[in-house]
Amino acid sequence: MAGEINVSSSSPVNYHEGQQVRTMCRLCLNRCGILASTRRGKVFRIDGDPANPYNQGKACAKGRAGFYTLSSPHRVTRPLRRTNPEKGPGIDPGWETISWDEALDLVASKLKAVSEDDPRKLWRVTFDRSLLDEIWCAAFGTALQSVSSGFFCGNAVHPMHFLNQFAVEAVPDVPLTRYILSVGSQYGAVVHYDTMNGAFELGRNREAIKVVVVDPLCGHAASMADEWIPIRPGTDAAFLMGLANVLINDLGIYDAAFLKYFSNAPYLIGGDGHYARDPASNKVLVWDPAAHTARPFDAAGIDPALLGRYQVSGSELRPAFQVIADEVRRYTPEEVSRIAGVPAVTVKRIAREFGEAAKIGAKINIDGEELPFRPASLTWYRGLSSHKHAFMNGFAAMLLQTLIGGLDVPGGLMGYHRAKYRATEDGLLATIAHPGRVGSGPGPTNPYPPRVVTPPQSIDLFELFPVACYSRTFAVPAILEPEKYHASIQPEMLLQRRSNMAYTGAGQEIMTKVLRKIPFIVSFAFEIDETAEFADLVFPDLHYLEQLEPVGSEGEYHTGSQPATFYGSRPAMAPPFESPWGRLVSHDEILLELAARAGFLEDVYLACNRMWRLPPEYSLQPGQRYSYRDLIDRALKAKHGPDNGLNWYAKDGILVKERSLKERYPGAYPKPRIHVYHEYMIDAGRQVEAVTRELKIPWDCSGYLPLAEWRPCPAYAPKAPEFDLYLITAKAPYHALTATGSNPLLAEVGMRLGYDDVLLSRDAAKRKGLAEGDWVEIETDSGKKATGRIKLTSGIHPEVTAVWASTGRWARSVTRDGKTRGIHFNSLLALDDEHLDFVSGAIDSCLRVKLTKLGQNQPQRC
Amino acid sequence: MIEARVHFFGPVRGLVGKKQQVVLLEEGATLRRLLEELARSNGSEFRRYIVPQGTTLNPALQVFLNGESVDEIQNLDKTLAAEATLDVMLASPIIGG
Repeated sequence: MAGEINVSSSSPVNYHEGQQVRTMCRLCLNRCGILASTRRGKVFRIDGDPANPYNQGKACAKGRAGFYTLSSPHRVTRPLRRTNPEKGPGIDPGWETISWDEALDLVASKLKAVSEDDPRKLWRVTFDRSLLDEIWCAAFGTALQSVSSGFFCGNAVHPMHFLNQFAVEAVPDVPLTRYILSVGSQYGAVVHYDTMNGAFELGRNREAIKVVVVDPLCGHAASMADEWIPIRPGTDAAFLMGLANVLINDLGIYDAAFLKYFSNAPYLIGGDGHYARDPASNKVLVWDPAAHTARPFDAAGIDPALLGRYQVSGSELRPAFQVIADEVRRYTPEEVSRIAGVPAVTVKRIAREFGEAAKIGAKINIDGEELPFRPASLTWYRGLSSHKHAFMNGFAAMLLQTLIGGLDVPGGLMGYHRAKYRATEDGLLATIAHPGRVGSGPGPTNPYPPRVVTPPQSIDLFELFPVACYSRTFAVPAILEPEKYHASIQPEMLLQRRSNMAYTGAGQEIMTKVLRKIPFIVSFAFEIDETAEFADLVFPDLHYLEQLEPVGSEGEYHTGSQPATFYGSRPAMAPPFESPWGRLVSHDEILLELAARAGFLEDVYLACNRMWRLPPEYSLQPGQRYSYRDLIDRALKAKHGPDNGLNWYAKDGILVKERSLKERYPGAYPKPRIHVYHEYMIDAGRQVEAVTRELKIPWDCSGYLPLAEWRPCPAYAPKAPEFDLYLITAKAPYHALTATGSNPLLAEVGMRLGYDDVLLSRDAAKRKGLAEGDWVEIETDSGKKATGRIKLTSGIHPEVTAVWASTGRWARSVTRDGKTRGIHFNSLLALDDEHLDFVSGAIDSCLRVKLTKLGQNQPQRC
Repeated sequence: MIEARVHFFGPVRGLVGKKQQVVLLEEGATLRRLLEELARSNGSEFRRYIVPQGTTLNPALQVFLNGESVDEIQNLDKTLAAEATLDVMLASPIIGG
């Protein structure tokens, strides 16, 4: 393993020759533990780290090819300053190299000016959070954002897992689960948080676990599943509610005991949708069938009713579960078939399979303890998030998994990146804030209780989203039309790193307008990508194989029922440039120097003390100056003990800790009730309505509903008959977001596999007189156009055409001979009120298009 | 006399226009009293966030008394010690996809 890293701030890092360095892949969210093999100061091979259970000692093909970009001819090695004031895609910024001192002074002076005006006007953006990113922002007076995701990613995911699992994410409990229903996700197949563990457990247990993928496209995950069910885009909620209907109303399969005592299913609901409350104590009521009366939910000895209608003080009340049973009744298998294009018989069969696989009432003995066993998991992701009604889609998905009592118990859906929780006065689970932990910021963003709605104070209008986990998309309209949205905080400066919003945002044209409105942009860039092209100043960024960075002060990674593992990035080689501090090992060193020059370094130290909760022996003292290595050393010792500081991290760098049964399966133990009925949404919506009305902000509050329902996306009904196809996008396994675009090996793999092509079913092609290799013009019903080449497949819904994510890039470091390859999907999106979800902040990304044949040869303008 | 040292982190600074504040309170003062004083001394925009909800606060505002979250304390009527430290932040969007 690699050698010593001296804690002294003036000492360089020692790189050992011919060694394997234990480090972390940073290409995607999974962050696999890897070993980088070096020879003559260069990395020549990457393998999974066999000591790391988080990724089962494995690395994917992308990760193994990660060192190919180290020798990029486009690498930024000096600070660069723009000389051409005109900004835009393909416009030469006229970079000139400047000294580090000049660059640091210039950026520090801008930071100082923003700080004196209003620190919230610094838009600090990254998708790859370092140890200090968040603390640095807290000390400056702004929030850390990851703008390049969240337009259509976890919008239907994170709020639901916070709500019912006090966790950011959740994955099936492989290998104990026996049935995985994957709806709009590619679990174990593409970039995600549990890809390697999921892929290998599914592979090992291929015969024991049935995998059913519901998706318009037979992508990588579906191609390896037992069954692929093609579904019409944007109809997932109807399908899921249909399954709930069959389970509740036809088969009577649900975990009644769990719902009665661990959810709000028995809470009585009045005609106004609110809980019925005891007039004296204000406690929520349930119906006690034995006593024939309503009693407070926490009264002892009640076996509360889940179904029925009851007269209480002259009003008819229903248990929340009865409300759900009534509401889902309209999603008959036949109606689901009409909406989603999934045969009614399939809806019935999948509902039965899922319900029976859950083995309601079963127990499993683990380590001598009897625990509930619910070996069925529903997993969902972007396919549900990238829609106008993303929040409703998430509600529908979580309802189904909650019906079977399959949350955080063996075989079920396992939350991870957990928060602490408490019980509210209504006996319901709410997460607890923790500085610097869980997701980000001061704490989790649980929908319940909703945050009090106030006039916008953030660049992305987050204050108008009381139940969402983020609202990044709304930064775009708020920047472009600040008066309309009462957006008083406009970005004066953007400081971004590993976040390519010009490409991953709302399309080239719109993001160009947004970025042109920001007076000063600073990028930390490995290569000049689409966003760095807009920068006024660029600092050279490190390759992840050059970084020394234990990730996150919480410092433990695990998913599902795995052990907790602490590890992080360690440098396998030196960067090809020097910084004023000698070897640069983290961009945090630049942030610290900027803080020093801009006059807020003491605030950074204070934030370290408070957010890392440094005990007195490690706390940072006023008037002292600490190096980056000093800070890491203190953070590590405070978290892992006095023997596990920076020197330990440099030598070994991994801690694996088994978790107790309760830590692994908290759902098997008593805790506050969770939600199947979302009463809080009613008041949250009213608050949003009141504030937006007061400020005259045009806002759609109709999505604040206490129960999921399916509502059609704008694309569901074509505006004209010729727009007879949906256009969607999907992730492929050989690219990781925009982190791998310039990797020559992966680019070639993608090219050979038709990554740049437009997918179309053979039936649709026949119908339209198209053949493999034909060039077509794609036109959306909002008039946006692109050109692509047809690739025929049987693995796509016949009403759908698709392009792959991460294609159509235009940055010089990614294009070949200056030519863009493939279609940039996001540039076809419509960013308007019709396509935005005012509850989750998502933008709808299923589009209606028509195809026009151009011929067999590539048109000149491509 | 109780000396409460209040640190504002992140965007909440834009609301209160300061990094720190020292609040002097009579002995026996509670967390609720400290929050009321912060609301009184920091203007209407900040005041909109200080909304007690049962035993805790509006989750848009995240407050830590001597490092412990008010959500964990679950008692706004907790008596303050002679020296109290309050960290005040706003709930912020999660990082990640």
